[in-house]
Amino acid sequence: MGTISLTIAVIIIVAGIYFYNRLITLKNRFLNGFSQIDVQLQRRYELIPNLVETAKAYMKHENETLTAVTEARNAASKSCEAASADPADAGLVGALAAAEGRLGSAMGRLNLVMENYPELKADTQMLALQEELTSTENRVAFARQAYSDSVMQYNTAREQFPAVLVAAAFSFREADLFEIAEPAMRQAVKVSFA
Amino acid sequence: MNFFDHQSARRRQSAILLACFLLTLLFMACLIHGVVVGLSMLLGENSSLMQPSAPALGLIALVWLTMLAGGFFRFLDVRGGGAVLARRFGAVRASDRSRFDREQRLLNVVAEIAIASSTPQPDVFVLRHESSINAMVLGADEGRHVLVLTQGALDTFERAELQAVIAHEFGHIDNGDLPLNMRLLIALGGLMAIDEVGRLLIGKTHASRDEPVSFHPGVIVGYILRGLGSIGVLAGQLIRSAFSRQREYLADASAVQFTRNPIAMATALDIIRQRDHEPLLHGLHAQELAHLCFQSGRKPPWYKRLFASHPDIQSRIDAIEPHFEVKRRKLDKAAQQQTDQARAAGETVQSIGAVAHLVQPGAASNSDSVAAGRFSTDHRTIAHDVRHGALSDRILLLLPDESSCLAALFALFANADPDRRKKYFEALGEAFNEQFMIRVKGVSELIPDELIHDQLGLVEHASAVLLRHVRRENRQRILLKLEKVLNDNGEFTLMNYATLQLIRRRLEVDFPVLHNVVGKASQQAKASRVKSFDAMGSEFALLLSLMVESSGASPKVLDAEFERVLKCYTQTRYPRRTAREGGIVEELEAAFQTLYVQPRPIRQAFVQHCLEIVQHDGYVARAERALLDLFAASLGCEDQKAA
Repeated sequence: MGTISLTIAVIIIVAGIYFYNRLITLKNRFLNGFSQIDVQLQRRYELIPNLVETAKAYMKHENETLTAVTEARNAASKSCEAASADPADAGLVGALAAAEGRLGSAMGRLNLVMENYPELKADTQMLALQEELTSTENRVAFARQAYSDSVMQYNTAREQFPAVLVAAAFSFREADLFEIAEPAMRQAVKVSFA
Repeated sequence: MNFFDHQSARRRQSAILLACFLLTLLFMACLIHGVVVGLSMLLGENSSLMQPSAPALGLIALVWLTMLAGGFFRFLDVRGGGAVLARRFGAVRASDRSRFDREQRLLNVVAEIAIASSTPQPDVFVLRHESSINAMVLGADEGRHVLVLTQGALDTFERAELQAVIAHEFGHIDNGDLPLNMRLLIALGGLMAIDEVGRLLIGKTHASRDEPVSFHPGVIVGYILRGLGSIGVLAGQLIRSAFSRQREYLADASAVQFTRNPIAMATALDIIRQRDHEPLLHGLHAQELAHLCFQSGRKPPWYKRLFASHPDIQSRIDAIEPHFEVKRRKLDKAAQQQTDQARAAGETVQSIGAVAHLVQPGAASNSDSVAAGRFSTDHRTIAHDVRHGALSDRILLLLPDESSCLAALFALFANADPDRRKKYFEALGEAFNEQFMIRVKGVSELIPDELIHDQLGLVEHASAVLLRHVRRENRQRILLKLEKVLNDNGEFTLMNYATLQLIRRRLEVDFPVLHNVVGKASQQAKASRVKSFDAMGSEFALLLSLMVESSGASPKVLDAEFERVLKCYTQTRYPRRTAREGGIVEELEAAFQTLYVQPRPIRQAFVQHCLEIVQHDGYVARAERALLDLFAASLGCEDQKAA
């Protein structure tokens, strides 16, 4: 009798360890996914000054537009830092969305002005920057997608039968999908030199 | 099935195959044991299955050692690590310097997919002198993976397709295909070694026929080893290939998970298929690399397909996106619309640019304004086409379900004149029911502009929805009833007839015209109806006058134009007809019936001529286009018109 109960106890403990580790792995994966989104948003803000610098070389008479872009970008970057420190604060996220909106319209104006500078479109550095911006937009999108995929995996693993006991015992909470309240923040900064 | 389901199905299948492979190995072990023991019994040794005699035991041990050694050498071969292997094939590390802008894009795409798949970024290599399209991942158990792409793939693929291909390779990494594949290779290497040793033992006996075939023990053992080895290798190869094919499907499904863009994946495969006359890899190591690649070429005969490392491309496309053809056509249309819009935008910018250049005396102002001029001429017709060919978002939004689509189709026939409109609605209420009539009325008030200007788009969208949800007999019945309502109300004008025929075709309901002909006439009767060119003068005159009239010019111009085009067909002079005559539709149907049984080249030539008439003034009106569609369809030359 003793050996049987001992065996069962061992099996339970081993299974418990297995499921605990699995949940931890999945949890860390989605946490990493969350930080990736933030990293890529920052990367986007870092690219815009380069763009402005390159454009400056050709657009001597458009200082006003360029400064507007730089200011809007600084504001958005600041709001992003504030919002990422405390993503739960709806007010901060709202401020970020507004700043993103202003940055978007400033970039739109810049693009309009750029149409008048054909040599800017042929500039190799500009082309490279365009590629970088496109790539960063994609990375933001993919990071969000990977985040929701890993959240889904984590939640599924957490709710399945034996694991749900472990999850309850060690208080693995359900993870939320990353949703941004304001549609403006979802929008990419439209940059096209076509 | 979504891609998550796809993935789990593929995983299950490859687990089964893996079990099969292990079973084969086990079976091989039993087989070797049995054969060797049986042989020693035949030779009069005192041995049994449980306790083989010493020589038999020695032979079994020898076979096992051979297998282990073979596996070990194969292991040494593949262990070298991805980067070493890649360099051996002549690949160089992708550069992010701006001189290689495509490689910079590649590096960016790899970084993107690494994020999407939450995998560490692999090293990226490019085969710069390889013009074929291919991609592969290399790499051992631990350490970094290496992704190799050919220059041909870099040059051919657009960004989205490149993403798909890279994501496929990431799928291999993510699913752990590399270590699995390596283990299978090692096991297979062991089986091959048996065969190899057998061949060594047999030696040169086959070299000369004069020598008597010797049967000393070594040769016999050699034959046994060869026999065993071949069975093992054959079975192993079969299973490994099947396994590899499952992993390809799995990687495709993973790629779709990472990019959420099945169309791009299917497009990439389609591009590869179109270029399948080229060799896969030109290099020396092409054979060695085949199982690692993104694709393995054209569809082989069935017995070769059993050993293929990759599934046939069509089945891969079907697995990813069963409706690829349809969706791609739709996308192409949308893309064309976009370029045209861009062109329209470019036109204004161009002319601004031209003015700017005039103000500051620049170099190329002349060519700029010429270019702008050229845009404006051909732009008009294209933009027109596009407006009718593509669906506006508004339609998609306002007509989401089948009942509203059906109502929209009926609303197309509502007359602009209020009295006749009212009569039409009343007739509808009688023929169908009050509620449906109200629905049609509602739709016609909801989208009045589209009903007039975007009929083609409307028909296209509504029929696509209905085609999916309404059964064929019901579609036919609805259209027959609609035709009757129109007929009873005296609304069966030429334009309505053309629209109705268009709807019929889009809903894949049989043409009554064609139906009658095909139904009644056998092949012989058909032949007897073939008429000489001149005898059909009145039919041609009717069709041509309608075609000419649809351009909407003044009567005088129309007369001249009619004169001009009719001369190509007959010397007899016919009066010009107009669509306003009573009973014109019946006459038109009769004309179609006559023409439809004529030889195909004649019909084709006629439709081609109509197309030229339509394009004569460089502008395609809506009525012209509708009529041309009707002619082409009624004469069975639709494919030609598309061209």
